This record gives sequence, structure tokens and C-alpha cells, in this order.
Amino acid sequence: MGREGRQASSFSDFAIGEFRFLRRLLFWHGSNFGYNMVNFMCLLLLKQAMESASKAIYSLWAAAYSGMDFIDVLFFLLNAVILTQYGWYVWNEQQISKALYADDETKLKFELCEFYSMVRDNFIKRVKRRVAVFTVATYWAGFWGIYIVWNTLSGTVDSSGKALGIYDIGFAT
Amino acid sequence: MAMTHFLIQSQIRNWNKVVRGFVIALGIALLFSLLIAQFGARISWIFYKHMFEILRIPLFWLAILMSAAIMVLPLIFERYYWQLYRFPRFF
Repeated sequence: MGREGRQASSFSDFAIGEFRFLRRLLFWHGSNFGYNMVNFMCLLLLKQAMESASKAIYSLWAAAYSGMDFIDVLFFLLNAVILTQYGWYVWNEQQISKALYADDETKLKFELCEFYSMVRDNFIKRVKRRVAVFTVATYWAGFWGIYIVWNTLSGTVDSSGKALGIYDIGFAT
Repeated sequence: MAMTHFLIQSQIRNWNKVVRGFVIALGIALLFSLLIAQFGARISWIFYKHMFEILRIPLFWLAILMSAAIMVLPLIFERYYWQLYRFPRFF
């Protein structure tokens, strides 16, 4: 690498030592990145939309438009903070099995470019379809999360006869 | 929240001892730390009594597990469709 090459690499955002590294970077890590990006985005959309959907369903059906919330303050606040961070694990997850292939490209039973094409054509290019699937799943989850828990636990009272309110529902959902 | 835990766990591809321990520890730690944080100002023996009364009800755990399982089911089927039916050789 000459003087101009060093200058180019020092001013670039990203540099690799050898050209052959590009293959693994694109086809191995790039494929996983594309798959995880779509999954992560849909998961985060679903997480918050499910909370809102269940609140709307709860308000329309169980709370009689009273504006009552079934989620306690800290659960509501920390839901976004903690579970979003938890979701970051999904972002970093590797889809090519470590148990089967142990990060070794030579053990793969398929070409890396095939995996790349599959992710590109079915996940990245069709992200809208995947968001649509997750949207349907959001309302499904929001409804059942309220319906089952409300019907089974809404009558819980403590030993002094005081109603425990709907804390247990927020705890469950 | 239980559903979100299940959902993210269903997306984890490579399980190992560290990940299993992390997931279990996180679930337990979040439960008790949030309970203490939420009710810290008015926490008392009667509060623990009430909470453990709730936790002792089998219907409570059944409701949580059943609702979270039904909620997460479509997404697990969706994932299985891609990984086991459509493109099994890649996964």
C-alpha cells in the first residue's frame, strides 16, 4: 500500500487489510446484518405498538372509556428502556448456526452468496410485507394479552378484602 | 412484558450457557428490581404478603404463560415458516 493508499484508508470510515476480507464482510456479516436489521426494526415496532394496542383494547372494552391505565408508571417508563436494550441482542445475533458450522465457512453446506441472495430478496426487499405481518401480530397479541389476563385475574383481592386493582394485569402483560 | 421476553428469546439463534443464564437472571432481576422500585416508598411486610399471595395463585402463572404463548405464536410460526419450511438448508 503506497502513500495514497494510506491516506485514503486513514480518511475513510472503514478500512480492511486485504481485499479477500471483503467477501466475508459482505456475504457473512452483511447477510446477518440485513436479516437482523429487518427483524430488529419489526420487533421494536411490535413491542411499542402492542403496548398501545392493548391499551386501546383495554380502554374500549374493559375500562369503559375511563382513561384508566393497566400499566404501572415504572413499568410503562422502563418498558421502552430495558426491553429495547434487551432487543439489541437480536441485532447482534448470528443467523448462520454456530453449533453446526462453528464460524467456519468451509463447513457450510451452501454458498454464502446464496444466503446473501435469500436475505436480500426475501427480507430486505420485502420489508413492507414483513411489517404487515408484524402489524397483524400486534393486534392479535394486544387483544389476547388483555382478554385472557383480564378474564382470569380481574377479581383478585388481598387478605383484607381490598381489591388488588389491576396491578397484576400490568405485571403480566 | 412476558410476551416481549418470549419474543426476544424466540429470536435468539445460538443458545449457550451464558445466554441461558443471562436470560434467566435478567427476568428475575427485572421482576424484583421493578417491584422494589415501583413500591419502594410504601413497601412493607403486608406488600410482600400480598405479592406472594398473587404469586402463589396457579391461575396467575397459567394466565401469564397462556397469554404470552398465544401472543407470540404467530411470530414463532412465521419464523418457522422461513427457517424450517421455506429455506431449511440455510438455518
